[in-house]
Amino acid sequence: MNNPEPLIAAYLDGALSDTERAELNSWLKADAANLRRFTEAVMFEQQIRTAAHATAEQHAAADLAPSVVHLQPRSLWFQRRPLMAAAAGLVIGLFSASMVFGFVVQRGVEKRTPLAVFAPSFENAQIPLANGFPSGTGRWSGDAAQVVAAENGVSPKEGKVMLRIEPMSKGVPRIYQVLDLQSLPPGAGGESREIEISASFAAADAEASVRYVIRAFAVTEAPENLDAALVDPREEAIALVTRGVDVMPGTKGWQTFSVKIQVPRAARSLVLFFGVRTPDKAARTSPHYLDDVRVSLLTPPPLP
Amino acid sequence: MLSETDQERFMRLWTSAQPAVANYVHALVRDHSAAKDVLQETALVLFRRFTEYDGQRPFLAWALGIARFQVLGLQRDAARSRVAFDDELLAQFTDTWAELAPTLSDRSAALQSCIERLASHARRLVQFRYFEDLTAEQIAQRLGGNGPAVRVNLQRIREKLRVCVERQLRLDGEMS
Repeated sequence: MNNPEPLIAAYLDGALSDTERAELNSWLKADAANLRRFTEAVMFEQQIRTAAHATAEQHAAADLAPSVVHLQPRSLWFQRRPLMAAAAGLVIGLFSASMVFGFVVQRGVEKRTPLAVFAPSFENAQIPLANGFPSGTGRWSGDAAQVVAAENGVSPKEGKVMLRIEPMSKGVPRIYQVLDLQSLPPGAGGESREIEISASFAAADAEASVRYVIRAFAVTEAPENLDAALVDPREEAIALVTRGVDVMPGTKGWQTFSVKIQVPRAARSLVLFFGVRTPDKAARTSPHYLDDVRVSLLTPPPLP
Repeated sequence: MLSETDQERFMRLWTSAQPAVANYVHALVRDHSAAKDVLQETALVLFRRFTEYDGQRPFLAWALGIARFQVLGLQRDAARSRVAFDDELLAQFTDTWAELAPTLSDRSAALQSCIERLASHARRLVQFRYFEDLTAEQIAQRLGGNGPAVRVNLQRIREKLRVCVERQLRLDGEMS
């Protein structure tokens, strides 16, 4: 049998047909290694079951501690962590930015070499746009957004277009991009590499206070294996950095800032996140803009 | 009647073996209350027959052997039993379980943490599958879709959890 996994999965699911049952028995008897593999799978299945019960019961106990209510843990368990639930339900993302480049930067006797980390230009609104969390590199995704020319008194910081991030009455509008770290040129030696991400934000309504956020986190999964439907990638981060900039009412123009992250060698993907948080609910009716997103790999100068 | 010393010895051995025996029983008995009954009956038989226990053998292997006979009593009840193999294979499976159980560290804390990290849709599948004990077909009926697709997703979730647990245990080991 080339791949016993479907058979094992059917056993674990209690869905073996008579034929499959006979097939499983033959496979198990054929080799002690098969039996060992199967037993390990059953043991792990039982451990998940035990852990799932413990998790559900803990949540139920925590939620119901103040009052005596008939326990219905199944409905309580996944009502928790609404933010994560919201993350899993990312709306179709539309994105294009006027300028998105990466640069290799050398300090000291620096030589700055532009590197196209993403598509070199996002001026073309026909580029493929991803829905939900990006399933690979070079795709932007996130909450409602669209590419626009100058509007509402805001002109693109670079090029002719910029990204308009649509206001959301609830939650924080988010834009994602995943960077394939394996595709980067080998930098200097060492256990980690430093990467800088900068972006510019602007508001259509400069009279509202707002916090712009850049977050980057590194994970060991390859970009194609990052599956936000199964695991919140942020929870698997081995390095994470977040920076928010609070913009006071009355501040006009583009707000540019950056974050730097030390990315361990083991990391294979870097997830970039750009968000807009508007504390005043009444101000969540006007859009914000994102432009001039840059990523730089910071390579230290060689030792003398 | 066991002497006081033997009773204490039994309690010590049983306390140590009980989690592995409980996992074994719950892995093979679908119905939760039936599994609890089997576990309780196993403990009683072990206690009654403790004078027969050969102290040269691992207690866990002996306890699992007794538990196997209790599980066999349910084997013909398909609604309650998960056993899908013949007696000979069940004996071999039990021996393998006895061999593997001591080598596996307690992964429950790591597993709980990893389940918490799953995305909401995946946690929902885990809840349906492992807490409500629904089959893939039943989950598909609740969520839409089809059973085989749910089964594939559950398989991917198991793999994610396995990788997550291994990483968690490795990190814990490095920090201790």
